Amino acid sequence: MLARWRASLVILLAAAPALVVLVGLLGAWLTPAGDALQHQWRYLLPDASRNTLILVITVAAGAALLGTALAALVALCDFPGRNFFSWSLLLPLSIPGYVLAAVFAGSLDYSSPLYSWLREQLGWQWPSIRSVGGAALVLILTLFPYVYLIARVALESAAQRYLEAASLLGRTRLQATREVLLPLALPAILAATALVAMETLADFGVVAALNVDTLTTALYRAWYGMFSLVTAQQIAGFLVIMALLLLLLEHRARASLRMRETGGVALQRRRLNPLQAALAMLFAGTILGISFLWPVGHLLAWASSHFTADLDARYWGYLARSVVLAGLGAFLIVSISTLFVYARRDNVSWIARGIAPLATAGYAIPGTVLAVGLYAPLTQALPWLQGTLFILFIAYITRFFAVGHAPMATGLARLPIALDEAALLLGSRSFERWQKIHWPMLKGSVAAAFALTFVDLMKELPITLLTRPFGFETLAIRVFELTSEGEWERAAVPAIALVLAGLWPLKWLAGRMSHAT
Amino acid sequence: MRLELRDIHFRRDATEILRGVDLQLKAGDIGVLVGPSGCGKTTTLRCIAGLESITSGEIRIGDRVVSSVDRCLGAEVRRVGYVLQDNALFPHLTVADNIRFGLRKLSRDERETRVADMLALLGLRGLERRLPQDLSGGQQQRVAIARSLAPQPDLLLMDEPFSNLDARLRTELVGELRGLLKKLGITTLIVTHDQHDAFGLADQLGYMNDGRLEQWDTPYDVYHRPRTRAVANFIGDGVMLPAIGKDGHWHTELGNIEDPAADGSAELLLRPDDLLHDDDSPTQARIVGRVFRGADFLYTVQLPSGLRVLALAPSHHDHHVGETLGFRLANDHLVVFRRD
Repeated sequence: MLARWRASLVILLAAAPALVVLVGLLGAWLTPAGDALQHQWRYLLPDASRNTLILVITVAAGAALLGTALAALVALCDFPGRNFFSWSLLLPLSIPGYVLAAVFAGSLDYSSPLYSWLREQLGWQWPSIRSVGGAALVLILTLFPYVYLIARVALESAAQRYLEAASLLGRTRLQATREVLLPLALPAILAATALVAMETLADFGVVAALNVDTLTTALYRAWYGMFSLVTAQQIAGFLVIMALLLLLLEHRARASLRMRETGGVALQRRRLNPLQAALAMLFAGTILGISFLWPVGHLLAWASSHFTADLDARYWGYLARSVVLAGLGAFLIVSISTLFVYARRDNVSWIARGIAPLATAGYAIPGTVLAVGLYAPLTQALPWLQGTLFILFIAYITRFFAVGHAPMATGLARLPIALDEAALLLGSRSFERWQKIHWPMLKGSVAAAFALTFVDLMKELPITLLTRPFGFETLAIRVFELTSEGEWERAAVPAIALVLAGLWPLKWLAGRMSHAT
Repeated sequence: MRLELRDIHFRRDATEILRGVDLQLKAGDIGVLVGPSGCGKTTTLRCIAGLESITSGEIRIGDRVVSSVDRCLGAEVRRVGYVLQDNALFPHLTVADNIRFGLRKLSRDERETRVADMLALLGLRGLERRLPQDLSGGQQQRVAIARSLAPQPDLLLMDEPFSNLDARLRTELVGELRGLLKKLGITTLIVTHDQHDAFGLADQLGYMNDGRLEQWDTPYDVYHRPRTRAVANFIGDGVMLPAIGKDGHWHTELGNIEDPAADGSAELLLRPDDLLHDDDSPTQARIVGRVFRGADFLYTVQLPSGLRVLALAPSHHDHHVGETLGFRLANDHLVVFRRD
């Protein structure tokens, strides 16, 4: 529908920010290291790099194991409550990591009432939650649903006939699951695990709330504490290399997903005996409890005691700014991804075709990296951009483009060119085709794309924190600031608004993940 | 090994899917089940394989009872090979690994020998490292057969083995498959909806309808001596010709046929090859449709009463729609369904 050069232009523009970031960071690596970086190298970076690596590995492994175990339980076994767990295990996705970190830190810290009571009454002790281990636990509990969802869909869509074929060739059900079903689901599990690893690498909120030094907090400190943009850029370069490696892993896993043939008769679940069923319910219930029910309950309890004190005019201001930023950002992302998917459908130049994947690769780049990677070159070129929301929106679009793009791409895939040609041959004009064919078939995708990006933007922390105009506060920023000050209980009121918003797009998220496999 | 089904019933939820199936297959024979979709063909195979437990009856393979009311051997210990519909090749395993999958009880050497044998037997040499997705439909079919035969099962079951293949490949594979199964001497039961496949493969042919096996006979007998109207209608083309029995003859619009038992009102099964073109015949019929099939013509002709019947004519008998010709019955065999 678009002219060829215009289609190419859309694609180039969508990919431009990621290109700017990569080229800019490469440039920073070529700049000689200043004193600040040497200081960082010696005192901070070894620790931060090690912590980042440990976190990425533990969280990826933990979320993969936990998610796969829960997925196998729900997809392959039948027990009372299976249906309930099947959807409720997605609920933890609605809690931003830094909110869960705040709840854990506030309630399990040495001085917290719960820990004091347990320590004095029962003599219980546990390692501090403000540690790499604590951060890993929080991240596992917020990120495992990605693996759970993708693995569950992969297992459920693996056809019953593969299990039957295995049993006809002499395998018990357990052997068949291990030798056939899990290998079949493995690429999906790997892709989800790579996604979890990217999120962990990108995480800023959780590690900042728990005072764990990682590359993202080091970047923040270099920029805001030492005012060394070059050092921040160089740390960002590190992060980008790790992110691109993970992206490569994810792409390879997805590529081998494409050959999987699924469908057919639905999997017959094995009914568990009462003891097994009780254990299954205990396991799933415990995970759901500590990752969602207990934190939400805690937030509500905290909020009810601080409700009146904090729900003043300022609170409405945070809410309004969050909604405006997220709403405008989501609108931009949905509009651009709509243009983008149409542009890709057309016959575009080879440059545009080659560069298109870059536009959707932004989700792999940590927010902190995008912030510094865009801020540095853009403010150098156009100094008047400082103090505006322009860079913030460009970074939003880059990082969350894939979130809005995926539903639009699946939506448009249902609209083959042949349909346009059929309408054309029946004499319809271009606006009529859009109004009568495209819009009715795409509006569901538009709604999904909007909801998913809106909520991700509401929860977004590092980009907003690093590129906002001075004093511009949103709900996420407010939670972060109160948390850093140790005011856990007061953070509850804005945090609940974020959790509530996060519940909204879960249904689309479930749908999108199942399309992805 | 011999296969025997005695009065098999199978119920899922409240629906009775099999209502008393009896069937015997001699060791080394090939049996074929045909019937409309939903008649219970596939369920019968699944019960024999041990993928479903029967509600009542008994299934024996050789001398071993594998299914009865209170006993159901698991599929993994039955020694039954089953080529599932759509093959169900493991997509993550190569051709050789798919074939090897059922052989883990063998020693390493035996296993590799067996895989090599199977590859050779089914003409798959050179494809052992390919993944199923890189094979053609016919090759996938062969791999599925090789995988099921590799553990040397006592019995082979096949569900719609040719459903994914085009017509030409089908005809080719049908002959090839029968040759292979006979060479191995393996007892085989095949489900298909295509009667041409069935005729090409079967020693014994069964027609299933509504959870019952209505006839279990040689293909010749099922075609020429159908026991019920349903069998007659499903197998081959044919039309029911009304007849009145009197004085040791069946009186029909196309002439009289001698039959000492002729009595009362009945219908005769008229196959296209039962009707001969004969210019001297008193019965004149008008051609209302014709299909040129290469080797012959299949004419649809309308009798004076309005009844339309089918007639086969040699390829050179080129007549046109609207022509009127004489026809008579070739009464060498007779299938009578009495009206009650």
